[in-house]
Amino acid sequence: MTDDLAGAVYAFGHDHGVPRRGLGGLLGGKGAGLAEMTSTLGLPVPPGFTIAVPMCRAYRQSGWPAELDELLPGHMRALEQKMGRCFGDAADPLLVAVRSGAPKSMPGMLDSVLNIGLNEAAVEGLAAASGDEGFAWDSYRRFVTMYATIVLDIAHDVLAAAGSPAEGAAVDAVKAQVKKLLAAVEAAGHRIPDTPGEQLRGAVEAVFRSWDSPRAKAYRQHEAISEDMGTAVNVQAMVFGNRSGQSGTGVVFTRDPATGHPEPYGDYLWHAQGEDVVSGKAQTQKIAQMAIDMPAVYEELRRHLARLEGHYRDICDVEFTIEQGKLWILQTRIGKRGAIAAVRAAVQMVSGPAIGLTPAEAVSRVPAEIRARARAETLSEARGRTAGTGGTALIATGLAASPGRASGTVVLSADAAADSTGDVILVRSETSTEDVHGMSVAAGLLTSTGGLVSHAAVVARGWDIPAVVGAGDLVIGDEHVATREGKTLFSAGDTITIDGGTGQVWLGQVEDLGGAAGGPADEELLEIELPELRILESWAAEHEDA
Amino acid sequence: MTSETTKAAGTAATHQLLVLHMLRLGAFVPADKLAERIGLDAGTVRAVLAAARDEGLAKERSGRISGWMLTPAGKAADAGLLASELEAAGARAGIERLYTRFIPVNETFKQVCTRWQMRDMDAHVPNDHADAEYDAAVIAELGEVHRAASPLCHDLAGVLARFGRYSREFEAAWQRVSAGDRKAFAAPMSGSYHDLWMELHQDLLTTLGRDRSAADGQ
Repeated sequence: MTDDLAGAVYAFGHDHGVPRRGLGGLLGGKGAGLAEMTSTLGLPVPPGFTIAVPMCRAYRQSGWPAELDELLPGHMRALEQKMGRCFGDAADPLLVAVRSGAPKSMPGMLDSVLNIGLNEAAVEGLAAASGDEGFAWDSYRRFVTMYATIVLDIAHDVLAAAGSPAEGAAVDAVKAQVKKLLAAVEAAGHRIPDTPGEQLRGAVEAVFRSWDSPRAKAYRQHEAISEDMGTAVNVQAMVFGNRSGQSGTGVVFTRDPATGHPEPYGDYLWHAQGEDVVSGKAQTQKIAQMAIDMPAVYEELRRHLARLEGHYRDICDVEFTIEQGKLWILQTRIGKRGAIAAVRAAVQMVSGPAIGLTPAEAVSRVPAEIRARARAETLSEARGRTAGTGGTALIATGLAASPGRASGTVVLSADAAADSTGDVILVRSETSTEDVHGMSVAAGLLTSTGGLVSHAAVVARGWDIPAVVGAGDLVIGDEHVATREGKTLFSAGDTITIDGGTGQVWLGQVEDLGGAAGGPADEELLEIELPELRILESWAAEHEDA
Repeated sequence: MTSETTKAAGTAATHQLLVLHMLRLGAFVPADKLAERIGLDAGTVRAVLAAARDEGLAKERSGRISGWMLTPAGKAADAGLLASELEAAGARAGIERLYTRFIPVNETFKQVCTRWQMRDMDAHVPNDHADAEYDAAVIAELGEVHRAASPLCHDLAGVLARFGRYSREFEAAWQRVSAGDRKAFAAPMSGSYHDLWMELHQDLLTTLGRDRSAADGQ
């Protein structure tokens, strides 16, 4: 098969004359998505261009295609004009990311290189433009490491000899490490090119080459993806939410993914890069605060969110960055949501004119098992609140680390868990590696220390067992569990119930909590808490039988 | 002759430390698996285990969880052996410094694991692994962690040789993740990246005598 390569590089905004969503075979999945967001949806996506899949095929057949040498400079010039920055500029450099993007998703299998365009002069320019020398040098360090390992194929342990500075190390330490890394690259007989153009070519070629890496081949074999397909390469301007001035970054859902309430839901952070928001390293702000901090940008964001929901006819999850007052949309996808949100949003999307979902569509999006989960969660939350105010059975509240409810006999060590029969709840002040074995036979886990991201929480979720962690009011001894004041609450052998979705802990077996005399019936509670469920069930009765 | 005896005694003490400490980190390991992980032959390991049982330091148990585990006395003995190892090798400052480097990476790593398992912690939305792009992004984050962990393990092995196995084991787990094996990320008791990480964390704490349950002798 011979491909026509003459024009096989396309700006994200290129008019293909056909719907861009169907261009995955030419532009790859990521490239088609970027094209659709740029043109069809008119979103402010950081500009760039896609080197189409046929170029990769040509490269694999007969090496670096001459057409690319002709096409790349023109596309880079256009990119510079759009961004008002120059590639390699020592004052305020344009940096680009080079990312793979095959027609079939191959997560993590193909390479990407970020921060292209940095060199000894440009790093100073980035420091000046961002007002953050530490960030600039750390970006340079990451670039040198990625370029050396991915493009120049230098082994990690060769670079490891240069050591790595502690997180938050002084700028001078990072500078010194970059020097060491560059020296290690030279000692290995290589050199990182100074000119951004050469860096770009190296990175593009590395992405092409990564198609034939052993792990990519193994993945394709496993997933039955054709060896001959090849990947597209996306070259995109990098934007930084940690620049000076009004800059920041955030993640927002078009609706609350827990409750389904139709208000933007998310967090953002001033002067930060994307990973800072998701990593939870810094204190983020609720998205509503943005309406006060930057009303114009917030209004623009809301417009894009409405446009996205209307287009995809579903809850969307959007990553954005604000660079010196300018809003950029980085990524959008269909938002994951909890069962309650799924029910509420589906019914509201039928009622509201903006999306106009049909009842049949709503039912197909929220199948019976999700509806059952929404029902159970709604009742559990409502009953939990009842129990909490009653104050008789609820003995502690911790962090909800792994959802689900479990009742069982209390065991206070892995050894006791091993001796047990029947359902047990392992109760520990903290968990060590030994307790992992105890957890392997437990129906649930309760700890008095640790957070939502503790090792114990990771293990509990890995096994899908309910866990409440960090119930800090509990003092856990060898035989008894007491309050801080020394009053014994329960002992080894007693039965307790934990709810890893709410963080609540009750004495005894409480699966039928509140259902006894006096409490409201399930259907009444549901009608108050989630009336959308009854509506959806009635549609389901009509449409699922049909 | 004298030096031979001293050497033999030294080797025996090293074997005892390696075996007891591996049990401290990964209780209920079958003897053969234990031998493989610390790089000793199975016969030696069984002999050390038998001696430890006779001294009341370890016990082999059956039931819902079976295998070898340390007794409270065994945990105390392990803590003592670690302390003398640290002193003899003059390694405290070195391990201390590397532990300080480990802490921030550990925080990042636990966050990454949580994102791998949960799409939204507040809303209890688990990651169903249907969104390949999301998974790819989290795997890339693990790659960053791995890039930071590799030199750290390399440096740890430079201070105390017994830390040498972590480089190999982390690399093997990372290769499995890279090859698309989802369990290799954080599935418990499967040699996953998280399993190894939790073990390294505890190893550092126990080595420095910071492990609360060891100090309490529980």
